[in-house]
Amino acid sequence: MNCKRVRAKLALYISDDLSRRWQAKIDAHLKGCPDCQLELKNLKEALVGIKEADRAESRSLPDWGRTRWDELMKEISRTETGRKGRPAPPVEPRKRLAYRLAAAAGLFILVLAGYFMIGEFRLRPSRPQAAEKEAIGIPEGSRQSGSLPERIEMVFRLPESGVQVVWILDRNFNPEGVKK
Amino acid sequence: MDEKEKELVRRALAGENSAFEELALSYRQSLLHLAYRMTGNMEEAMDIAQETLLRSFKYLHRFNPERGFRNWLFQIAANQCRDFGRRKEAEKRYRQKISGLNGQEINAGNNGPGIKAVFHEASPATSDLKLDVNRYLNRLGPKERRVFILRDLEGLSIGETAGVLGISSISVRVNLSSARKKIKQLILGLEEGASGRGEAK
Repeated sequence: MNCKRVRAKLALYISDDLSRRWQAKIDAHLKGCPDCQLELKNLKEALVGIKEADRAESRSLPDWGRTRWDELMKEISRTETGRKGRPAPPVEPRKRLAYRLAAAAGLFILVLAGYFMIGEFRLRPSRPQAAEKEAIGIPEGSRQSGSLPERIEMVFRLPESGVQVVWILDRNFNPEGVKK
Repeated sequence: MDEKEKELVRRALAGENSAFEELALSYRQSLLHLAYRMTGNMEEAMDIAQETLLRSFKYLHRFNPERGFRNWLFQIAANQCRDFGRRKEAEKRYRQKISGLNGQEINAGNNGPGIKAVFHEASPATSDLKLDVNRYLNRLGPKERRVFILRDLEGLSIGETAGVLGISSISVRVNLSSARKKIKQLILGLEEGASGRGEAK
């Protein structure tokens, strides 16, 4: 550690305002550096000097004076503390509980409404149109109103060659097997 | 903050003005000292100290007992001094502008900022006092000055100084370090200059 870096930190070292690590580093440097020791001594003397001068001057500072102090206290007695700018009074605990319950009820209703709205869309099975039913070959017997059939047969025909492929699926669209 | 102070604050808030007076009495001189060091002028310091006590009474309900009454008072006083300094600076600029328009120079005798200028600015009330400390303080920047006064002359910790001035601890350290270096250079420079003149004689 060089002298320049040490001297930059001496002003805080003097009042223990550095971290322990820096204090220790500077301690170690000062032991072997008379120039930095002199710098520290000068700094200490200057600060002690100005503090002593301040104390000496403070003793000669004029006091408030009885008249001035009494006038100030009279003015203070005419001032009302805390009336202006007082923060809003705290809400009573019972009312606070009522507000919280109302907020919770409102939130619950919102969640419930949301659940039903989303559920309505998700749970309702999409009903294929007549042409689509024909195209995918849903058997007549399996057409049940409001629910999917147990077995779904999907028939794909190629008009050019007349080849047809039939997929047989269960109601969860899992293939049970492929025929023909 | 000790229990006695807390009790005095509670009684003052309950409307007992004598409790506030007792509280204020214990800090009136340190408050005046702080304002004097910050402004460098006794009349201004007296006005600021009075305004600080008035405000502290008015807003006593906002006081947080965990912080300590002295630090809270110092914070109000420091804000007052800063605002006062800004107003004074604006007034000075305005006067210079007016004097410029009239073709006159108000500070024709001043040779720029320096130690002599401080004596010109001092009021008759302060000119009776020894001005050595204020002369050194006037050579510091505004923030350096406030930090140095609170930390070194009033004896607050780094954290307390930061709290009073509403700045970070890092800013306090930086300004304190530069203020101490300047004070040292100034004191040593002046002493060397004085001793040099002595030797020459």
